[in-house]
Amino acid sequence: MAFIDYYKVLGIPKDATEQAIKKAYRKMARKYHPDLNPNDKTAEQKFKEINEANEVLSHPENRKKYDAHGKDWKDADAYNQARQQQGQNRNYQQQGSSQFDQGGFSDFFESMFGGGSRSSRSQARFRGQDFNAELQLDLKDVYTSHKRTLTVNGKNIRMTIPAGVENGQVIKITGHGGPGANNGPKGDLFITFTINNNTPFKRDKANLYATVDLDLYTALLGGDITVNTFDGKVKLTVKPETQNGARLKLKGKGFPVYKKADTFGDLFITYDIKMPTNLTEKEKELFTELSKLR
Amino acid sequence: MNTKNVITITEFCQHYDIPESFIISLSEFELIEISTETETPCIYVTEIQSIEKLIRFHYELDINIEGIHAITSLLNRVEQLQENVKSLNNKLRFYEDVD
Repeated sequence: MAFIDYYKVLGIPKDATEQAIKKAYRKMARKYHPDLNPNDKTAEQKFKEINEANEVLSHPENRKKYDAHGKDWKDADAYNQARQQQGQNRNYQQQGSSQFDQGGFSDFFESMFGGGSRSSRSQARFRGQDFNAELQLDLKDVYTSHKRTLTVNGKNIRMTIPAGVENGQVIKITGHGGPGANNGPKGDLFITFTINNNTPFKRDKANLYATVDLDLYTALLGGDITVNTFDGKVKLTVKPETQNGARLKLKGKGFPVYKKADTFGDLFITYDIKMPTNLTEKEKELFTELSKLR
Repeated sequence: MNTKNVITITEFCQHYDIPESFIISLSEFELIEISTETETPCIYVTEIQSIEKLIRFHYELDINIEGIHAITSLLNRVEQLQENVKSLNNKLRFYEDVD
């Protein structure tokens, strides 16, 4: 448990007045407030630290206690005294929770003042903090809608993951964030999806792209081939004299469109014509003959 | 009109312990929309979350309405840019995968 210099956190001297503390807190809060720094974990952490520092230094009793134990922090007796204080203070824990406090105060704070000894600055009811979580899925997982149980902050949440979710997409689950202040409503949970693609298909929104190898003779003379789509195999007729790099669209064989049931993108197939190798003497002879005809 | 989707400004302000003039000012700066379809001025329930954010700006961070207006514009731009980055990252993934 590391000693935290709350004065340093707020950038103020040890003899700072109450007004100076308030001013420093406001200044820092404006810089690191989560509303002003969306999706910035560093700012969120910093905001927690300055909140904690303000919580201690803006209350004369807390500040006095902090000053007394803080300066002799390395002394073992003072440490033990603080630990005893922890036991007593825990009995007075309140359920108050700042709307931006996800992980609680530091161990240091809790050892000095108990887990939730902050006071409420405002009587207004505010909704709780929004939580952010990341969910990694494979591309095949988001081809169909399915239910999944997530554990967020120790709570199990059963949610439907809609087909067609994109990489980086954020989904809001209402009411699964932090508890509100003064009985305000709970915040929301925002889940960011990271989609890993381990398939031979490339995805651009709802369209899929794939390359299919084609032998020279089928490309020249035409024929039937079987190709893989995301949900199975399909038979294709290759036109005679198909060129290398020719592209074919298989309508509706792409990826599901997000939140549009039964609507799919397209699958684009690009032919990659493979030249025969290790030609026999007879084949060379015949190709030479062919070349003379052109 | 579906009155379930609106809340009177008076009721809202009592709940959050703020003066009605604050909500009116937000509306004058076009930061929120006030429903004019009802007898008493109301706000849309769908806007409550964003109004809460504006309340925090003002009452927790001491930012005046002009500042809130500037911050809101910048945050909207940040959001748009983040969307662009996400979209470009996905496009980049597509081309980076090309053999």
